[in-house]
Amino acid sequence: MEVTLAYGRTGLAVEVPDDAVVIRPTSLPGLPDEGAAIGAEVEPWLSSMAARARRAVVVFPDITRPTSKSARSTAYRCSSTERGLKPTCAS
Amino acid sequence: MLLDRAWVEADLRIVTGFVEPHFFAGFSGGPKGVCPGIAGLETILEAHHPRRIADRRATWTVLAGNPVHEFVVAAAALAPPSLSIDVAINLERQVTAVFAGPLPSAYRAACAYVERTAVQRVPGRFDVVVSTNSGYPLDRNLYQAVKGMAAAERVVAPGGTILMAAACQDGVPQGSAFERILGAVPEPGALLAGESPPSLDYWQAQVLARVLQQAAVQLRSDGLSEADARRAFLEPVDDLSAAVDRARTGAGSGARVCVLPDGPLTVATPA
Repeated sequence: MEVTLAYGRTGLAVEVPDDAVVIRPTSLPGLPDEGAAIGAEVEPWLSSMAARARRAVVVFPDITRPTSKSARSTAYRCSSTERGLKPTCAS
Repeated sequence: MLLDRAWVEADLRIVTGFVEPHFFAGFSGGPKGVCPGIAGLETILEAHHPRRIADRRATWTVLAGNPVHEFVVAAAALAPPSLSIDVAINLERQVTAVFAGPLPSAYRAACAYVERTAVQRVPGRFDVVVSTNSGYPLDRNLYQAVKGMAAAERVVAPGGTILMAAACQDGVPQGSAFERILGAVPEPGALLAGESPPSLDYWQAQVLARVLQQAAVQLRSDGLSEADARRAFLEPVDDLSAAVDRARTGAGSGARVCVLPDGPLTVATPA
């Protein structure tokens, strides 16, 4: 049988014996609106924390990780412009 | 313990990430965004000390008693995040759940959630295991691809064969400490002999050497030359299907084959 492997951006088809055991993680459905879901989780915490803060730092993963852009942008948005905080960037 | 000054001096500290099984820290995400994330080099090296990596509790989905996780938690506690925001994702890279709050409660919930989807029971060990590094972007380089080999290590029979498919568009990467460490030993077992002082990337070479003690590893990669693969003690292959057939035939009648198409996103566990 043919199995498509996660490989680069394209995937890679490989022919394996029909009795090979193929193991995948249980895949759950994606949330319909990621940004809204993240905002709903984050906002209750930030509303009290950010009011007292003068300087915020947000850390996000490097390029080897498929981190959700909406997670980053939500954290950034909540901690900076909407709160009147000044963002700085340290590598 | 050294942490980034901007982080320590901030009065609102937010760490974001995603939680997946991790081959020696238990899980990614949460406090790992602080250490190693924004920790100083000396602190990163101590977190990855060869003694910690060699501990059998420094492995997939284990937090309790895991010496890497415990160091990471201790480092993060010195300047704890006000808020840790983690997501879980599915194979389509869609967000399936969001966990936000102070450490450790939100992170613990995220890990428990991911453990339920990642851990899959398999019937025993296999003579041949096909694995990946979850495709782009995790398979950008060979350094990262050790993770997919370690995922296969869990279910490959001693003396078996791991067939690893990783694009490695960024190479080893060339010029990395990982490449230098592998190039400095005549055979990978040397990396496991005695206790080495902590050094950058040593942990990945150490895990690779451990995997190679258990099984031979063949590599299908468009981003690496044959010489690159051989310098990492891997056997390059062009035709993966033919390599699977060869490895199975070589293992004799009744040889069993397992495929982990998503690599380290699956924590295959022999029943």
